[in-house]
Amino acid sequence: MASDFSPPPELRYVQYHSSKETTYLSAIRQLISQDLSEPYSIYVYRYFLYQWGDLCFMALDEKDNLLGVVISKLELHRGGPLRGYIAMLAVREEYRGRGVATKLVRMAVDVMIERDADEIALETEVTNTAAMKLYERLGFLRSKRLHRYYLNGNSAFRFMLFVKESTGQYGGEYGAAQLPPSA
Amino acid sequence: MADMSKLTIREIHSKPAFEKDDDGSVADQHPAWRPGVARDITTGFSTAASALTTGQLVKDEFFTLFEAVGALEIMDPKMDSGHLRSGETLEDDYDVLRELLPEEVIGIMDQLLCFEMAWHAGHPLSQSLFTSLYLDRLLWPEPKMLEEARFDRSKVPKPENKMLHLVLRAYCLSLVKTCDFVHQRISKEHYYEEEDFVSNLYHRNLLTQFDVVEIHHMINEALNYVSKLTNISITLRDALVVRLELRSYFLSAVQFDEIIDDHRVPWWERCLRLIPALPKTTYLGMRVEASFSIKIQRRLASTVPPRPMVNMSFDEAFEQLTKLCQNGKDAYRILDYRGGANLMRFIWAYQSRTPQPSVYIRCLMQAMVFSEMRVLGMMSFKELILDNLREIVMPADVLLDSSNFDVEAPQDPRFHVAKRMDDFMATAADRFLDIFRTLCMNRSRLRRILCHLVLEWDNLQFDAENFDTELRKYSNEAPLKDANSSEDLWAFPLSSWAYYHKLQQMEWIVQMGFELDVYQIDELGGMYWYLQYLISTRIQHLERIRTFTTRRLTRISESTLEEKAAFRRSFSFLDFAILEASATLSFADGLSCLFSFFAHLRLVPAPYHDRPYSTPEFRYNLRMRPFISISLPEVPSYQQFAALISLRMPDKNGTYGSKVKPAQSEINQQASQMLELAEQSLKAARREWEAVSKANAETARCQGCEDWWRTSVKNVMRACINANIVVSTAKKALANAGTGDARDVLKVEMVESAKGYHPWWIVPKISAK
Repeated sequence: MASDFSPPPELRYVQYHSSKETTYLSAIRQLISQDLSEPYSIYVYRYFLYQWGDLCFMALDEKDNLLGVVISKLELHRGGPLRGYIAMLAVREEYRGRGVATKLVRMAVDVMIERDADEIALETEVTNTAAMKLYERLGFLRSKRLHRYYLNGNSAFRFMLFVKESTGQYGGEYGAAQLPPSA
Repeated sequence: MADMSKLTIREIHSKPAFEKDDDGSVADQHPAWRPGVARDITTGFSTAASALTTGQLVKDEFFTLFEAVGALEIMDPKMDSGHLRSGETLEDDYDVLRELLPEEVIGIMDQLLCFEMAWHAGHPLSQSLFTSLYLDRLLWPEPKMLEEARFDRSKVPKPENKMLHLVLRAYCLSLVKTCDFVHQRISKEHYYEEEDFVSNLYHRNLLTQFDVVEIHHMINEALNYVSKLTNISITLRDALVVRLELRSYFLSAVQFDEIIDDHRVPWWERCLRLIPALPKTTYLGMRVEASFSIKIQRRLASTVPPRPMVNMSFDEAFEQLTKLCQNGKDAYRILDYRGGANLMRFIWAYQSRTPQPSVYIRCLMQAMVFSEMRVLGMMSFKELILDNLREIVMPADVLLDSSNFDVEAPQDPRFHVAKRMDDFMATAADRFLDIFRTLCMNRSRLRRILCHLVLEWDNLQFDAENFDTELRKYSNEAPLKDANSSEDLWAFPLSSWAYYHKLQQMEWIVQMGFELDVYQIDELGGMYWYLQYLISTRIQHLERIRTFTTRRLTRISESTLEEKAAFRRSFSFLDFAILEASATLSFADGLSCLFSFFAHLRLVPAPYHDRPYSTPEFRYNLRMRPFISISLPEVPSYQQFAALISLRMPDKNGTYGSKVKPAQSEINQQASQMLELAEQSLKAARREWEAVSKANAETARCQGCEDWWRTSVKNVMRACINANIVVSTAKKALANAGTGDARDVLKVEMVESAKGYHPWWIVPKISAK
C-alpha cells in the first residue's frame, strides 16, 4: 500500500510554469516516454503545459532531479460539464510505491476542484492494477471499458470522479445520441 | 524555438492514448486549402518566431489535442519513418526473383497466414501482410491487368522457377483477393476503425477489379503443377496442395456477393476439414525472414511513425483461422427465422461466445440480419416488427392484420389503421434494427451504445403512447377498471412493446458492466440490487401485458385456429419470459445480499475507508448516469438505494456510523440475517434456473442456437450452485466464529468475471480458515 510509506523527506512537489520549460521539459519527456511504445512530439507536451501549466506538478529530489510528474487539463466537455482530465502520470521506477503518484494526482485534483471542475476523467490500461488502485482509493470509479484503446492493442478503463453534487444533471455522455457510425 | 522547424503535422492514423470519446471521429474543420502562388516566407517566419518565448504555443482554435498528438518530429528515429540510421539502406536487397525451395515456399505461405490473421485481429496491413516483399512486388505499381501482377514484372514470362512464378504467385494473388472480399464486407457494415479493424490500404488496390474466376484458374493451374511434381517428397507435395486448396476454399467462403442464403456454408465446411492438416506440416517450412521487411512502411505511410511487425505465432494464427471458419459456418444458422425474440436470442448467444467472433464475422452477421432492405434475405423490416409485436403484445390483433395494408379506400377505417401503423413502424424501424446491430459490436462498445440506444427507446415509448391512444378507436378496445381507483386502464400495446425492449436494454447495460469488470468490488452488492430492481419492473410489465392479452382473448367470441395459435405463441413467450426473468431476479437478489454480507463483515478487499474526493452518493450518481434521464423506471434516490440494500458498511473506525463500535456479536447477528436472505434467494434461483433449462427450444426461443444457449444456461446454473455452496460455507464458519471476528475463520477471494462460470454472475471463492 503506497500510503503506508511516508515519502522521503527530501522530496519537493512543485507546480509547473512555462518559465520552467528549459529546466524541466526534457526530463519530463524522458520520464514519460519510458512507458510509451511511441513517443509524443514536443507539441503534445506544450499543448498541455502551455495551456494548463498550473495543472502540472513535479516531484523533485534535493538536487532538482525529476522523480515524478502529472500532466492534465481542464475544459468544458462537449459543452456540458467542466471536466478535468489527467493525461499523463509517471514516477521513476525506484521511487514507486511511496505515494508519490498519489500526492501528484491529489495536487492536480485539488487545483481542478479549486477551479470549479464538475468531474475528472482519465484512462488506464486494464492491466495496470497499481494505477487502478491509486484512483479507486481516491474515489474514482470505472465508467466504461474502451476496446483496444492503446496502440499496443490493449484495452482501457475510463475512470471518472464526480466532485460536485450537480454533475448528474447533465445526463452526461449519454445525452447526445451516439449510435454506431453509418458505414 | 529550435524545435518548431522540426515539426510537421502527420495524418491522424495513429491512436492517441488520450480522452478519445464515443464518436472517435475527428471532424476536419480546417478551412479549405486554396492553390495560389508560392512565396518564400522564411524571413518573415523567422522574424515572427523570434518574438515568441520558448514553450509558447501558437495555435488557432482548430488545433486540438488530436492535431498535437498527430505531430511528429523529423529526424527522430522513433517518429520519423524516413529516418535512416547510419549505414542503413533505403531499400531492401532481398531478391524476390531468386529460386525458392518448396520448403521455403511453405515457410512463406505460413508466415503470410500469420500476418493475414493478425490483420483480421485488428492490426494494420502496414505491420502485417504489407511487410511482404512478394506482395509488394505484385501490388505496386498497381497492375492494370492481372497478368501484370507478377514478381518479375517483365513482359516476357519466363518458364522456369515455377515454384515462385506459378505456386507462390497463385497463393499470394488468392490471398490478396480474399483480403479484398473481407475488406469490402467489413467496410459495408458498422465497425470501429482502429478498435476493431484498420481499413487503410495505403493506396494499394487489393485486386478488386479482377474476376475471382481468374484467380481460381491460377490456383488450379498451380495445383495441377504441384500434384504432378515427382522430384519432391509426397509429404512436401501434400503440404503445398493443402495450402493451395485452402486458399481456394477460403476465397470462395468469403466471396462477396449480395445473395443472403446459406450457399457459402459448404466452403466454410471444406476449410474446416482442411485446416487440421496445416499444423501437421508447418514444420516442413523454412522461414524466409528476409522476404519480410518493415522498410516497405516508408512507402506506405510516411506520415506515421515506424511501427513494428506484428508477431503472431503460427499456433495462434491457426487457432484464429479455425475459429474464423467455425464462426463463419455457424453464422448462417441465423437464417432460419423463428421470430424476433428467437433472432435476438441467437445473436446474443452467438456473440457471447469467447473469444467473441472476429470483426469480419460480426460484419457478416450484420449483413445477414439486414442488407439490401431485407431481413435475413427473406423479409422486410416491417414484417419483422409486425411479427415481434404479434409475439409480445398483440397476437391476432386487428390493428396488425396484414390485409389492412392493402386497403386503398380512405373511408375504410382499416386504411387509417394501416397508415398509423406504417407511421409507427417508420418511427420504430431504425431503433429496432439498432438493437440487432448493436449486439454485433465488440463487447465494450455494446455496453456503451446501449447506454445511448436506451434513451432512444425511452422516446419511442413516449411516442408510441400517442399512437396507442389514436388507434384505440379502431381496435374497439374496452378498458379494464382499476380495482382501487376505478380508473380506466388501457392496454397501450405499442408503448408496452417499446417499454419491454427498453427494460431489457437497461438490464443488459448492468449485466455487461459485470462482464466487462466495470464495477468495483464494493459496488457489486448495489449493482445486483439495481439489476433485480429492473427485472422486477420488467416482470410486473410482462404480467400487465399478459392481463390485457388474456382479456382480449376472452372478448373474442369464437376464435379461429389461427387466432388460437397466435395467442398460444404469445402466451408461451410471456410465460417463459416471466420464468427466465424470475430466475434472473432471484439470482441477482441473492448475490446482492451475499455481497452485502461480505461487506458487512469486511470479508472482501474493498476500500472501506473514506475516499478523499468522493462520497457514496457521488459514486451512486455516477453509476446511475446512463439511466438518470430515463423517465420510467425512475432511478431510486440515493437515500432509497442506501436504505434498501443495507448499505451499513463499516466506516474507517469500524463503527458502522454510530458513536461506539457495536459488539461483534451484534455485527455477526446482522450478518447472519443477510446471509439468510441470500440463501433463500439463491435456493429459489437454483430451482428457477432448473426450470428454465427444461424448456424446449421453441418455448425458450433458442432454435438454431440451442446448443450455445443451453451451455450458457448450464454455466449460469453452475454459478448459482457455486453461490449456494459459498452461502453454506459462510454459514458454518459464522456459526463457528460465535462472537469472534468472521475474518478469523473465513477467507474470501474475488474472481474476475471472465474466470468464473458465467461472466454475468460474479461469485467469489470462499474458504474456511
